[in-house]
Amino acid sequence: MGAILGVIGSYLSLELRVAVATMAGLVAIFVGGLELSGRSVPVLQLDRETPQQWVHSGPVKWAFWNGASLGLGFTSRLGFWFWYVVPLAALLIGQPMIGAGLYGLYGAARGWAVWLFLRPPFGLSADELDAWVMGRFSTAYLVGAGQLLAVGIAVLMVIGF
Amino acid sequence: MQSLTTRVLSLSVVIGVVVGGLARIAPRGESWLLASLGLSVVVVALAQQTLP
Repeated sequence: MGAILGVIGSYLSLELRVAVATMAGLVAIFVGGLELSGRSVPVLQLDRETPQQWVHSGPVKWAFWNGASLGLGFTSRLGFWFWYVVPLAALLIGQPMIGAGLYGLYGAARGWAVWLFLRPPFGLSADELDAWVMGRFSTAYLVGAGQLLAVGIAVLMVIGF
Repeated sequence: MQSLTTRVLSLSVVIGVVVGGLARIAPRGESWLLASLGLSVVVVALAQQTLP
């Protein structure tokens, strides 16, 4: 997916990519700032879990489709505006290798995190770890908003002015 | 939570300005932006684990 977006981006003119990146940077600062000031901005998303019936299609098929769905992101629950940075950056950088790298990084981090729940650290049970992680959403929300703000500022400093 | 919000806001602005500044003036500056972007992608992918 990232490589495809990178290829598509390479066909876009530099002026167009800079213009879109500038607007995206402004939006990132605006949305990140709003979220950090306590105003919730609903994420444009499908907001759904991966289909339960995949469980019955065998471990390999289930793992493949579940992993693909979570790794692609937009096919499952996003929760954070920052997610849009991944495909947008892959497109606007316009280099297939970098696009693939960014998307791969996202999918790998999302997928490998599951192993944490299979082998919980610090002597925790899977249920305890699950409850601890789920209870940190408000902190994660702030961190996501902060990342969005930081990336927006950095992008604007590089290309916007 | 208020102090955490303030800290995250301050830290985000500092990170954004430092990364943006380095990306603009340092040799091979774009690497700083890419590295920061990559790190942010990993952090947010992990943060998504908090979703129900």
